[in-house]
Amino acid sequence: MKRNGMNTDVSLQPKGLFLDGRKRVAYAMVLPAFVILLLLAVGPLFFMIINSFRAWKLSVPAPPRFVGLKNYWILIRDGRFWNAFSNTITLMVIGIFVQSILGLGIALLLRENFRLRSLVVGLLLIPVLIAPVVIGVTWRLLLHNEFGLVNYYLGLLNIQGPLWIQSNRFWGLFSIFIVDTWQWTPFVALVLLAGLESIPQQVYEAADVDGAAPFRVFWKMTLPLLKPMFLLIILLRTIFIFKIFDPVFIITEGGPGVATESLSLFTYYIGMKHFDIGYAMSAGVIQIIFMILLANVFLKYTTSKKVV
Amino acid sequence: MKKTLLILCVLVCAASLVLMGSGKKKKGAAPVEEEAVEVPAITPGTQINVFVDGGINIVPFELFKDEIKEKSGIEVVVNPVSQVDVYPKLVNEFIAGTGAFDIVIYPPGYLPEFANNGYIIPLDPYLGVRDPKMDDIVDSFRKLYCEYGGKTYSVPYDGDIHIFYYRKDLVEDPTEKANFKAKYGYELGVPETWEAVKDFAEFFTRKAGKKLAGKTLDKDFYGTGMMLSRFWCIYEFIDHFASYGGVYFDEDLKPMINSEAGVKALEDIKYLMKYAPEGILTYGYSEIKGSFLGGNIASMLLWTDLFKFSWDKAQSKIPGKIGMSHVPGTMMDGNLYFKNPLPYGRVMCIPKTCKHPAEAMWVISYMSAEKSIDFCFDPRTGEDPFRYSHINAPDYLAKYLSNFAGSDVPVKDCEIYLKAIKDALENGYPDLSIPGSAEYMDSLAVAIQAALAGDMTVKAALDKCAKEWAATSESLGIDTQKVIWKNLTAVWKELGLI
Repeated sequence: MKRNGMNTDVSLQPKGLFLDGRKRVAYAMVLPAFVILLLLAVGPLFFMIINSFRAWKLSVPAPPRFVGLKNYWILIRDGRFWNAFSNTITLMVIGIFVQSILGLGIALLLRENFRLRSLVVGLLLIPVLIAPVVIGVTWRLLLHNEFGLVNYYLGLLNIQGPLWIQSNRFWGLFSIFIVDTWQWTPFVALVLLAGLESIPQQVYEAADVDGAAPFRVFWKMTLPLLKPMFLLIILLRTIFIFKIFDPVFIITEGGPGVATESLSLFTYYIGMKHFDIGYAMSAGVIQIIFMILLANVFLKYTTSKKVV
Repeated sequence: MKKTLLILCVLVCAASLVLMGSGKKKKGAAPVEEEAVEVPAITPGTQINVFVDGGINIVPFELFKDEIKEKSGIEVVVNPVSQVDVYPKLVNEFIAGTGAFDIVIYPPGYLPEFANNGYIIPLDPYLGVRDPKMDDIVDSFRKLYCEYGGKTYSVPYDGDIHIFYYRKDLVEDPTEKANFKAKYGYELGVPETWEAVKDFAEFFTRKAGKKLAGKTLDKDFYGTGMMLSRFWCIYEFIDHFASYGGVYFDEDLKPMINSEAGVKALEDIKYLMKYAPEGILTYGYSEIKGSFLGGNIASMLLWTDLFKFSWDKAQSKIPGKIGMSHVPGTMMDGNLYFKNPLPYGRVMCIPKTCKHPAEAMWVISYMSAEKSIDFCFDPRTGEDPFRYSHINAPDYLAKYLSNFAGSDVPVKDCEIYLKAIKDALENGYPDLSIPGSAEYMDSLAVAIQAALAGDMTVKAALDKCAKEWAATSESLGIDTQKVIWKNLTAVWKELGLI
């Protein structure tokens, strides 16, 4: 049976690798990109999984050897790994919560028409565009106990500024949180602003006609309609914060001790300082599994009908 | 389509396995065997790429690369990296084997690992290219920095040793002397023990508005300064640890870092933090050097290069005001016991992948044998004396520094400085230099910071570190590590260092 010149008769379709001419061409054109993707994404992933079952240290000339689940067994009993995990989750939960609230506030302000609004919206993009390393170095200087501007201005207000960086776990993580929030709140605000602007005006007009109070409109209409945007933000920020490296590495180096290490930094130190490749790869695999599970939960939720 | 995908995935996986297999041989490379190498003549126009940590440590090459080109036709290109990245970047380069560098400069603590893995070549066959004057190198540096397994692998670039610095003008001030005696019951002088250091640090720590040597302070002044950031804190710790008679391992490679010496060392540092600038846990070499030369600190332990910096008015507010002494120690059976650690240091080596070893050796020899006296005395560089010809040249040093001071630098001060180095070298204490030293030291740094930040007790932090050291030795091959450690300590004993 032919429709629009295409053969749609299932019984005539070739089986397995034996494709008809058109499909063969189509697959041939996709193949290079597909192979490159496999080599660059699946290949290294496979390499990582295989080596996570090996003892492989680059500081000795011994070749890698298979050790089964030993790396994983050591990892799940490694307090440093769980400390890094806990730090990452702390930054993720608090970061997403605070950034969502601040972002929503900024988005609501920007929804109003005022002079220079487009300029302000443009400026909001700057933190997202700056290289994370530059942000880290800048904030390290700003938060420096002796030379930093933050404590200098706090001093002018007769406030004794804390030793932000490396005094202890709390202030170290708080410093990283400040930097992350500074960088990513504008992004959250822009996404929510896009969401706000996509809400049809008629919805508000109808509420107005019904005499709904502004707070009730916000609570019962605006927020529910922004739910898909919030879920998108949570998904993206979860992925970004789970991989957080630059600000932690530059601002606290994971210290004092390992108090503020994130999962990525932990893996970096094990892999690139201790050159314990097998162990670092097992940590990488665990992170990937966790992220896949988390992302799937979010995606399932965002694609379900209940969301909107 | 699913079958096609499956086949492609299998192919990619197979390719990955092949790649892994080919990598295996490379990673397991044995140490480079000495072969009969015919020393080629150097070729003018050859480009030699030098790997070195950036900042003040590239200055020697900047100062002399034109001279090298003029004399040999060899063009030197310097590739600086961040100091904290020296080890990872070098290992990455060695594993990748790109041949990007012809000369690599790094701390000799990594040398046994690199030599064992076959990443660097013995220099013995190339010593004829240009005489590096190995006999002129101070014995402890030559034995500890350059030789491994009976072969010469490197030539020094920087001879590092820690000494104690203090503000001579404050110690000699009559009012301060009188006040000190009234408070502590003994004369103010150069502290020779850690207990005396604690008194010294406490006494000189003053708030802004108080008097110091007759002058009113416009900002807080601190009795001591320390390098306690993650990368640097190990050196501060070893200064104390060695002087309490600590050793890294026992003869069976059981970690001794959590011994009584280790605990006392870390408790000392924790105590002294009270008399150091706020945020001292973030202070590394540059911060502490800047604070001392800025006149904000009364004492500290640092490398010997501080003396020459102190005469450079561009970076020092205290020219002629610093005194030097050995690292403080402890009284044992009525005698003073102290050690001067030899932390970090820099050596020049030729990687296995170097395409121009003869030219590289020419540059190494020229820099170390001919030019090191100049660049080690130059306040613009971070390099320290490491040759007998350096420590026996106070007149030359005085002349060199006078140019930067803009006034005469007393030869006597230079004599005292060079004698302090000579004496310190006779009582040195080496860095841990066995394979995996970077990993051992990183565990130690983490423990030190955890204890100093109050996240763990001193004992708990060091016990944890000892456990990690044992695990590291196990993962690196305990039997091999034991043999290497035994051979290393034999050299230390031969030099009278332990």
